[in-house]
Amino acid sequence: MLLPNWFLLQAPPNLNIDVKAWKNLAWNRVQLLEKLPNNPSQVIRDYFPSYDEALNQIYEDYRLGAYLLRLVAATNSRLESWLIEVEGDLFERLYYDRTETIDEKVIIFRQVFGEENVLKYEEFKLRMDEEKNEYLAELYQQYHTSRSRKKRDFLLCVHFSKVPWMVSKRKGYLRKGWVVSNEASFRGVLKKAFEKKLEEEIIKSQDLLGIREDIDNAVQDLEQDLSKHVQIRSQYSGGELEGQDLFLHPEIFPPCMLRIYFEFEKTGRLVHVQRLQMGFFLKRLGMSVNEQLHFWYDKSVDNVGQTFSEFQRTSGYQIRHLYGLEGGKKDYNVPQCSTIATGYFCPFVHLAPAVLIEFLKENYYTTKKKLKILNSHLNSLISVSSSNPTQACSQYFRLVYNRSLYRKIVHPLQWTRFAIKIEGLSSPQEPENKPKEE
Amino acid sequence: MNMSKRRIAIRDYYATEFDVDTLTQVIDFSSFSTREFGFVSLNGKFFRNIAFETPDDLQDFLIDRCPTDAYIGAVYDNPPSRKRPIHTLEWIGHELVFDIDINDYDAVRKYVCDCTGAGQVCLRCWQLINVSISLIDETLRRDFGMNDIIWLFSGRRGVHGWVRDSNTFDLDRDQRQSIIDYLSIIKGEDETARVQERKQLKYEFRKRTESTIFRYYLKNIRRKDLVELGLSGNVATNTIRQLKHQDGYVDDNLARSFNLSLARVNKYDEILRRWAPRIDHKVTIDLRRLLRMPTSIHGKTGKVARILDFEDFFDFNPEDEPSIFSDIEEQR
Repeated sequence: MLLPNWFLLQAPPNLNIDVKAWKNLAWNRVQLLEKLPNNPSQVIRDYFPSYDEALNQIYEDYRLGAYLLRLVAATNSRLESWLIEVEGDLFERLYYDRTETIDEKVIIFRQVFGEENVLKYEEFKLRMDEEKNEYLAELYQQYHTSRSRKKRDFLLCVHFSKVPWMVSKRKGYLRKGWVVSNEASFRGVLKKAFEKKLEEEIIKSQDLLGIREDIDNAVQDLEQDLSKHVQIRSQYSGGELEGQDLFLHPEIFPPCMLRIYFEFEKTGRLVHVQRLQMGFFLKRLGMSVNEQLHFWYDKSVDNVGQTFSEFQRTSGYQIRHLYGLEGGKKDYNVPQCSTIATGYFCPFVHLAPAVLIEFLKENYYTTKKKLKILNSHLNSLISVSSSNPTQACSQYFRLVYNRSLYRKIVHPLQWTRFAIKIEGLSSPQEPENKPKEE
Repeated sequence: MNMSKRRIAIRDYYATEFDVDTLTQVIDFSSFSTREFGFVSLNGKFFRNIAFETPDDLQDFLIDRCPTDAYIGAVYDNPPSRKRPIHTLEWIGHELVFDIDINDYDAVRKYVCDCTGAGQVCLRCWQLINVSISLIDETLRRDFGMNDIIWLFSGRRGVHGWVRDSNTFDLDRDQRQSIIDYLSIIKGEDETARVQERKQLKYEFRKRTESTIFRYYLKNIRRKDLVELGLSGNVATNTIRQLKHQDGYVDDNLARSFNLSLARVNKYDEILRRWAPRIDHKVTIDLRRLLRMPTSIHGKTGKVARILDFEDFFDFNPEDEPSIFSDIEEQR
């Protein structure tokens, strides 16, 4: 029995193809992936007709297009997240609509989970021969009732190590290391496993880069075009700053965010409002949900003993909430300075003068001359800090960058935007809409 | 305690009684040279990132340095050292381990015995540990298909389970966590921890859990305990009579009828909450964690973290375990 021809995890056997044509195939794939959410059934009908040998070339083209996208994803982590997500959706849909027989489904399961980790129920029964009676009675009762005798449903066994979520939730029956359940209940984990496998394949495909110049150029071009073209969830909301990984440059953070950032680096803990403040800010610097999940998971000390997936389930909810992916699905902005001063953390308001001076001196100042200038302005800075923090912040900005501002800083992203311009990290535009929600 | 006498006692143990072959029964011998070890020195300093070429080198080190505590960690791609600490190395694997400590039962121990302090443990509260081992061991074998499981006394107030099956060696954190989740009937540690609903537990696992817990619970139960629990006098008398008739053995029928009685007085969750296994899940899922080295000395008690035989396991009393420091204590 052969693999269904839509299944694309394996690399294409032959890469001797005109690069221009190959790029077109990749764009076709992008089009397909973009159409999918709007009308999945139609897309599957149009693009993936039932098996016919005459269609082999079309499927081979799909494979080539998908493979080039994989190479591009290997060079850009945000495109990687996007590709894994959309290919995962397509896989799920194709598995549901385009696997006709039980054998075909089992083949897909074996490709995704590994040959040795999937058993058909008949094979499992043979292995359990000596003690099956007592145990199988319950299975029989559970799965051979009229309720579950749905069309195309059948029992399948997957090794417990491949489906930890099902083990955790006790979905299915565990016997001698095998999770036994009906095929439908494995679908969710099958998609996750496919996405994980695709991630591995993307990492593997890096090996092909740096060998052929034409391929490298094609990947580079496509990466640039795709970065602008595709919608990545973290970029849905307006008001972000454009630039390469801006969140990796704390030197462009405004004092409030820098203080929180250092505090978190030092202690591994933040109070709730500071976590929110930082989370909103990092989001608007272009950090994706996944990157932010890893950021908090890696640096926090309160998640000791927690797996990343457990963290995703618990604390991850709050992070996804920041991105408008949970709860009221509101796309939050970074709070304005006036709100920060009252409800969040502003060093000019919330730090004791002595601590504030130390903080202002320690950061941003690299030369003795600059420090001397700051010292001469410290008194006036401290005197306005609590009554008019935005003025103090603007004054501090002028001292740090030795530039006059044409307007007062009233929003943390304003500081960063000006700083980026001066530091030359990129040339961001002012957002069209001012932040509305906090 | 006199430090030099402690040193001598430890040195004598590692020189004469410590058997490296027993250690290599528990850990994988083929990867010994890239395994991480950690120690606490006599002056209380903790150090890790140490590897030994052979088990004999380890024994020489133990005799020479006389550490009060010895720990064992994961296997890496290269031998860990101070210059090449474990976070710079690639993690290869670690046996699947379980840590059950009587301290984790502090919130519910008062229903079983009179032990209060952190250091206290008695034969009655040790039954809580026995329930856990019994249930975990059987579930790992029957449900997860693991065969090579060794249980060790931790040297103080608990036990460690080591699963040596080769297919568990490279399980990642999520996979280990899923096993812990599967084994955990209660969520939370305190007295009000939530007990999983019966319908969430698959029939066989539920039957096993109930019969194991009821077996231990009813082992030394008196009629008045059952009445205090809220059962009627008749039910309590019948249960005790049936137990006597069966020589204390709790079969499926008795478990089922006791279960129904508990449900009637709304105490089913209560019994499960007190007796369900409480595994220190951090030890299981932390892939780089150090765990007390099998057959080593516990620095505070002087007792050996020895392998427990499953047959005489249920008569085991940690208080009866000999301490290598006992002579020193007596001299004082």
